[in-house]
Amino acid sequence: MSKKTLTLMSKDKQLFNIEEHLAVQSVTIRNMVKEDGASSVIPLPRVDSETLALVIEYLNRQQAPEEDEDYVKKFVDERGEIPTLLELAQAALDLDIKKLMDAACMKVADLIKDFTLEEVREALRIENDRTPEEEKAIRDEFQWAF
Amino acid sequence: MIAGQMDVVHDDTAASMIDRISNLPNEIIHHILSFLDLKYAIQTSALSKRWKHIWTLLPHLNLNSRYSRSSPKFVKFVNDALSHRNHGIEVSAVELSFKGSATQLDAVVTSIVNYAYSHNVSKLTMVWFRFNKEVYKFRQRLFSCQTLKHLTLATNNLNDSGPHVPKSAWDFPALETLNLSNILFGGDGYKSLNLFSKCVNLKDLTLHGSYMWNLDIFDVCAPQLSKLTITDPQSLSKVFNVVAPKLESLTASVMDRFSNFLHLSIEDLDYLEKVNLSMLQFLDVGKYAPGLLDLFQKLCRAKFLILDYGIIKVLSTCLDQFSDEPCPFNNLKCLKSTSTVPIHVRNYFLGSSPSATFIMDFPQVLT
Repeated sequence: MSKKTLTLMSKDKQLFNIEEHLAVQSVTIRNMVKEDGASSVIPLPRVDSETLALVIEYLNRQQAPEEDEDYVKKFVDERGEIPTLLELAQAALDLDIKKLMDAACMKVADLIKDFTLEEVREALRIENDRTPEEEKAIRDEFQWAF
Repeated sequence: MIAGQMDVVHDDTAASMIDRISNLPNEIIHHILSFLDLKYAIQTSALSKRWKHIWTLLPHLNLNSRYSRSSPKFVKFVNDALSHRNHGIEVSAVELSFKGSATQLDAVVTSIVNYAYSHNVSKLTMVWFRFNKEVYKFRQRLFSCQTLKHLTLATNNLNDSGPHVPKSAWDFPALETLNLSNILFGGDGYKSLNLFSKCVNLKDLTLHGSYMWNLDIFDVCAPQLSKLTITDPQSLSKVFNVVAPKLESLTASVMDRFSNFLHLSIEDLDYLEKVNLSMLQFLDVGKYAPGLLDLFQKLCRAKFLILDYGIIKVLSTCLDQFSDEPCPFNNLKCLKSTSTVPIHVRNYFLGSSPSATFIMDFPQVLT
């Protein structure tokens, strides 16, 4: 019995095959399959090929349910760079894969929890668009939290 | 990310990185911040203009007194944070971890309950680290919420004590999971308690380190309950009465710290699948054989049985007290034990469930 395969296309037009019963861990894909059978290529315009390869690796895991939690944790631990994790979170959000989203965001939280604000800006590439005076005003406004 | 956005030139990777990440959707930012303490989340308001109000929209609030210099400061922090939050946003979960006196705890819990219960909270976790055995009674208000689905109340184990909880039925119509650790049940002359009868959707109940103070009867009446866990009781009631026709899984430490045996009153267990029993080890094991046999008879429908060293010890020492009658478990598929099961104990189970498999789940030893 041959298993049905789906093809996913990354932002940079690379194609990835994955068995349908694994792909439908993504709620987004599950809904597409339900609606139109998703016979053709499914485009994922916000996910680059490197990230999609990781997502495919994740979806293809063959873990017993009781070991799955540990596997997911290890999976993100091994890709512990913040930019990669944020790309993964973005992909997991688009594809609606809750466990992967949770794990990636939790790992980012864990990595930044001891950072200074300046380090957080650097890690999340946030541009400080305030003058030092404006920043001070914010700190004064919420001084009970600083 | 944004529809109609122009393609980024390929060699400009740094710029494209900034572009993508600084535009992280709110869902992802909220999700990341939901794993961090609220104090930290509020500090992100200084990151940039966009971040100023992000924390006010968070549905998940983590409150931990260790990040405040004193517990009065923490109480003030919680009140400030709640009053500056965007009140139009519902609260999905609150996690409180508090170290300090009962008076300060009361102030914090009152603020949280008033705010969270009026913002449709679904998950509430409160952990209190006590310094001593001072008496604290959780207020009645905490035990009435229409939206709450998951509740955890826990405190550290200081022997023979625990915070008090109300004695009339708790009003949690939506509650599915309830976790209570080192709580005192009873007192004020009460002889019996039936707390969960209004929790009509309760599926999973865990009672850890319970101190049932002079109680004759502790009732667990919950029509939807499928999982009941009773671990490490400080003190058990004389009778533990369970009316839970949908019970699938029971985990129990069968003896309290005063060596009273769990006296379970339970029937109609049509759905029972899994039973996990454990007990502290005492010298005079023979004394506990009748209680254990009684439990076996009541739980005889189980298909999966897990027994620890203490239980196996009672069985192997006093099997003569059991083997007048066949083993009550006649539908057993699997028996798992954390110690060696002697052959005569094994034969006792196989006598009634010939096809049962035995699994020994030792701590792994390297060879």
